[in-house]
Amino acid sequence: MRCSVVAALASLAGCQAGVTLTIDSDRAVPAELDAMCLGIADRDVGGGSFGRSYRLIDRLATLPQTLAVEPGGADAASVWATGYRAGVVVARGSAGLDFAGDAVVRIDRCPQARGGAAISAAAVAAPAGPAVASHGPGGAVVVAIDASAGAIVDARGGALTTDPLPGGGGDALVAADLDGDCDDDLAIARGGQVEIWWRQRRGFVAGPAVATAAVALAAADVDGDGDLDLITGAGAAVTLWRGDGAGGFAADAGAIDPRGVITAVAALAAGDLDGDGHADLIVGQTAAPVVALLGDPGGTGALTGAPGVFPATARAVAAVVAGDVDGDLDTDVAIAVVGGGPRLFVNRGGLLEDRSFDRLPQPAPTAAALAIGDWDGDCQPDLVLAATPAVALHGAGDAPFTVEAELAAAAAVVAVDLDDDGADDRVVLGPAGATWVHR
Amino acid sequence: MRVAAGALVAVAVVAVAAHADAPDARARKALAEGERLFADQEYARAVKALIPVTRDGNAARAVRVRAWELIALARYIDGDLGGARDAFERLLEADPGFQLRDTSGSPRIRAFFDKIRAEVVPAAAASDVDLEHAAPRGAIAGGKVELDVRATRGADEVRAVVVLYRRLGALGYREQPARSAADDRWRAAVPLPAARQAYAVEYYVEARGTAGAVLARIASPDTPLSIPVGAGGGGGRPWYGRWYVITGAAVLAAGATGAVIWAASGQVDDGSLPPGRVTVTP
Repeated sequence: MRCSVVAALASLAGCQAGVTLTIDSDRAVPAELDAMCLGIADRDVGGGSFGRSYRLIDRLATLPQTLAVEPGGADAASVWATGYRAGVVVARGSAGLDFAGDAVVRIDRCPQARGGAAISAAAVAAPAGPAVASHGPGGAVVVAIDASAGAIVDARGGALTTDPLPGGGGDALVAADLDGDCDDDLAIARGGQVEIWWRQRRGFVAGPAVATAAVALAAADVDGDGDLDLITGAGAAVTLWRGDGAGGFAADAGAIDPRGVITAVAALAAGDLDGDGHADLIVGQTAAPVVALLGDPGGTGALTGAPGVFPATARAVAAVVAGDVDGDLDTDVAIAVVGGGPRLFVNRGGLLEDRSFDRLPQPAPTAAALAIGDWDGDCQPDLVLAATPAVALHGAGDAPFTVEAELAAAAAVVAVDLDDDGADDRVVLGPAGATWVHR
Repeated sequence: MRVAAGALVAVAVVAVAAHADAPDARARKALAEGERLFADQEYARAVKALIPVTRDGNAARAVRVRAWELIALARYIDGDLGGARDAFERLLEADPGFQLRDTSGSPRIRAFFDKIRAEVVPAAAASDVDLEHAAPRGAIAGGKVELDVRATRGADEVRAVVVLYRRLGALGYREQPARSAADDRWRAAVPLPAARQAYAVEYYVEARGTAGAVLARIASPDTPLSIPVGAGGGGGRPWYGRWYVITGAAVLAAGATGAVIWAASGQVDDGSLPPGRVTVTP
């Protein structure tokens, strides 16, 4: 498109013409993808960036979509896109933009993966508590915290680096695009409140605070308005904080009706359990059954306790992860259990069946956390259990997971494309610090 | 390069029709006679009828290419492999992107042709790209018509896909690059000038590799595809014929280099996502 005399003259003048950026997916809209966001950032740290969220409705109710991108003063840019379904992230994609030609960023059902042997980078010191991945300008980073400290873990030049997290540690955290600019901000529970930290390049700057104590956090667009909302949990209370898309959150005291089944929140996760296109909430407790709060089919964002979605067996939950574990694109749930093996709940028509014993290797090690991600590119989700040692499990759809490798001892694990090569890596956080396993 | 006629093509190929009043009427008449003889398996007579077509200075390239094709096939069938080779070479010199029409269904003829092409047009022969495409049956003037092109083979070799189009009656083609819509799919939006009367747009599609080498085609410059375009978009006097447009163009033409740069930055159409266009580092 730039092969014209005008472009040639512009090139001689040292300028670059714009290019067309296409965002595409093999996921059906809206059945498998109903919203997305797009981020573009100059590869130079001092350069500009663009980020915006889109609901895939009306004239945007189909993919691909395009955006004309002019470099301005940029020589190259990174592009990333996040796909949402029912208010939660279901797919991510990234691409480079060198302005030599048009580019495509895909948010497909199957993430990319690289072949070859796994490489473990040398460990660096990092907290071994809860950890999340944050995507944004400069690529993905991992944020890990414990009660006293926090660290931003990144990969540069083939090695891990850490930077201190401003504000220190905390009790719980979640990474999500809280202000609609397509980068993952942080909500961190510490000191009796939930602090919001805005993503800025590879770091974070302080934002507002939500005045509530929390031991568990989740983020999802529960009311389908395109703005992510926060859910906080502590004790028997689970509270919805509706986001305004600009970083403001207001409590909606009547939005959550747990029907008296929540007594001691330990962990939260969001996902569409019943497949109605509205976010549901999974509540793990310290000594009670896992509870499902189903989103109002009318899209109001109200969440109501639904008995029978999970088995009524009491569990001491350490962590909850919602995601597709068997490759059928619906929302399954994996939980880490204090003092016992993890549990795998497979979604069958909105009911979460405990399939731990026929899907997980037995005896499964006690894990403090879990991560889901397709590590080997076979389009079947794999699992990593943060245990001693951590265990990488190979997924094969409906077939049982098989042990692929043992990794360093871990208390937390994150599946994330840390080196921004388009394929997911594994970051394992344990007593020895953070270890990066990639291909 | 393989025959790449798309199964999804939903438009009619513009036939090489004879027009009694056209400058090449005599050549077209001779071509029609040669085609008839070829169909009747009168190969020697067909060649005799077609040779004059290849020497007719008034014959359009499409007519001459078609004549060479029939001559080559007729000679091959008659066992005159040297003569067939010569005819295919001349054909490929006239149209390096030529794709053999699969009229005979003979794999031996295709292999023979592919071997010659590998020598005459090595860049094209080295590729293994197949294209198919879909287009609407019609369009309305004043808008754009979208063409979807897919590489069913060899997509990784394709560096660009271009639609070359012209209004029926025009001599030259204009290029419309297609944007990548997936790893193996491209989409081009061909602009259709407003008009009060219906007209037709002719086009063909090229997949290009490194250095612009043509890897595969759908149709060709001489046998383009056609889309009927209904009247629409205001029409009347062409926009470029209006005095204020001409005056504005003159002013713009006198602009400084900065205007050129600005124009360069505006070559890419606005995207479908709001805000349509962004600048990474303003």
